[in-house]
Amino acid sequence: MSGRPKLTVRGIVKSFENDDGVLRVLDGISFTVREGEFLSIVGPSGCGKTTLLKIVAGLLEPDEGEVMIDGEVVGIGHSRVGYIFQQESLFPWRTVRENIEFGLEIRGVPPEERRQLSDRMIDLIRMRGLENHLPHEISGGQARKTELARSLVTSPDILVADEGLSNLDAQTRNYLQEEFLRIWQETGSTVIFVTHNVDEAVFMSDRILLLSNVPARIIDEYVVKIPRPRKRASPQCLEYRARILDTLRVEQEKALARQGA
Amino acid sequence: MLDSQVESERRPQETSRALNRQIRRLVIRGLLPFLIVLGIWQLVAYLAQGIGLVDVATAFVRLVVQGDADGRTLGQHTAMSVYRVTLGFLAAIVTGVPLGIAVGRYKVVDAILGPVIDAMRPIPPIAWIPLSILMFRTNITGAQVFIIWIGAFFPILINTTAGVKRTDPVHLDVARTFGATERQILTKVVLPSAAPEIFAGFRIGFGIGWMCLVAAEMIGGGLGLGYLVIIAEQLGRTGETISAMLVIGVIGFIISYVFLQIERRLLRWRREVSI
Ligand SMILES: Nc1ncnc2c1ncn2[C@@H]1O[C@H](COP(=O)(O)OP(=O)(O)O)[C@@H](O)[C@H]1O
Ligand SMILES: [Mg+2]
Repeated sequence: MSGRPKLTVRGIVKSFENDDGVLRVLDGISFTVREGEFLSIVGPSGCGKTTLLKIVAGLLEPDEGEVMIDGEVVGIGHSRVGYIFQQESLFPWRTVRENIEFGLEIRGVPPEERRQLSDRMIDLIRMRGLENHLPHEISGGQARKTELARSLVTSPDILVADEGLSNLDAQTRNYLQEEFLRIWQETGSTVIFVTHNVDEAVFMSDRILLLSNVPARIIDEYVVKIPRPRKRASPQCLEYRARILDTLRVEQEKALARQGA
Repeated sequence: MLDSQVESERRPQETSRALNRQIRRLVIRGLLPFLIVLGIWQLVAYLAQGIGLVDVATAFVRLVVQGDADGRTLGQHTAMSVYRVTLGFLAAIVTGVPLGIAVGRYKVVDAILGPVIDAMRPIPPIAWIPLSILMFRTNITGAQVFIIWIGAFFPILINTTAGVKRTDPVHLDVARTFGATERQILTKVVLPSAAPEIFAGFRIGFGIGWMCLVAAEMIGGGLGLGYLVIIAEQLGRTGETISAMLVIGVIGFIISYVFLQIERRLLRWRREVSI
């Protein structure tokens, strides 16, 4: 992993107005993702992970700071990031194939080429035979894979996944983690993977960023130097896990102390 | 179809029980409603003019074959009514759907037009008759189509607005991550997502437009089922009035049934999502 910088996020600040006034969510976030890197972002829920991803993807404007892809500043609506949303996001009136082809339709790709590309994706996610099903006719895990295919088929510069594998049963999640890694390796994509599951982050990532509670800052960074393919419960994995959980516990105590004061 | 496949594998006893059920369903859902409608009409006709079903049937056949006092057949009256309602209904679609999309999708439009719509909506279509005559002067068809348009317009508008507002925000975000234009967002996300509501609006709008027919044709025009209802009564031909009313009822029923079937198909993805 010594690719050139693909994405650079610099000094991102974002606040929201709510009933109690102004909530500062992101408090100066800066990091870089290298080409082909698998970066995970771990943080407590409500700390601003989704907000950060939406800013990276050009769906939300930051109050301060900038996002650069391939050294070029990108603004709102840049559409260079494939996005797997936190909630279920397939179009229920479109079949699996039609969902996968959505982005290609938007980009004006002609039908025959669309079909070739979606065929390749259907094979990549191993869902041959299900391509004419509607979303309500497939399982939650299959829906996740279809969303992954829909994001990848337009060959985005970067793929971001917002808790892509939460809300699935443990078995399906383990299976999809491996699928996700396989597809990442086959496509060579640059990935930002948001999760609140430390085990998942250690198992999957080249590098992990830890976010604090709001206002969120990056409190730590771990380069996961475990060779692939990894084993979930290997001593190395467990060691990383213990270190990260320690840091999170200290952070949690600090947050509680601040609330008490 | 599936039922009969399963039934053929059952034992004779169960088959006869299934047959009994079929017969019961036919009696309850087909025969009894038909008899009750007949009974109601017998009663109404008797109370109104002391005439019976036979008189109505005779008047009906005469209307179909020979026509009314002016020699215009029931078919001609029906065709004219369907023509007027179709015009009013199409006008309501062409105006109601785009406006509904605009109000549902753009907050500014909603802020400006929302109150206007809420103030106009409670006015019954029939109350527009005098104004429509003033507006269209000698153009009677125009005035009639206008009344039907008023009746069909609001249900279509309100349903389209509601459907568009229900668009899942994450679907809009998905479209944006691919760089969709506003036009693409409308045609590929907003419209398909709102299609079931829009179609329910068509069904309700057509129903109300059809009900406004009699009122609209009271203005005159010399042809039409509503016109026939009024003119036949004025001439003392109650049998013809009742025949025209029955045709209005039956056609309204058929069209609403067809709309419902189309709606069911369109709704399939959504209904099964909610289960
Ligand atoms: N559009 C918004 N308006 C107001 N508050 C928001 C909005 N979006 C997010 N927030 C608030 O910002 C904080 C971070 O949200 P989010 O980025 O979704 O967190 P996470 O994804 O880490 O759980 C939360 O407190 C949330 O309530
Ligand atoms: Mg989130």
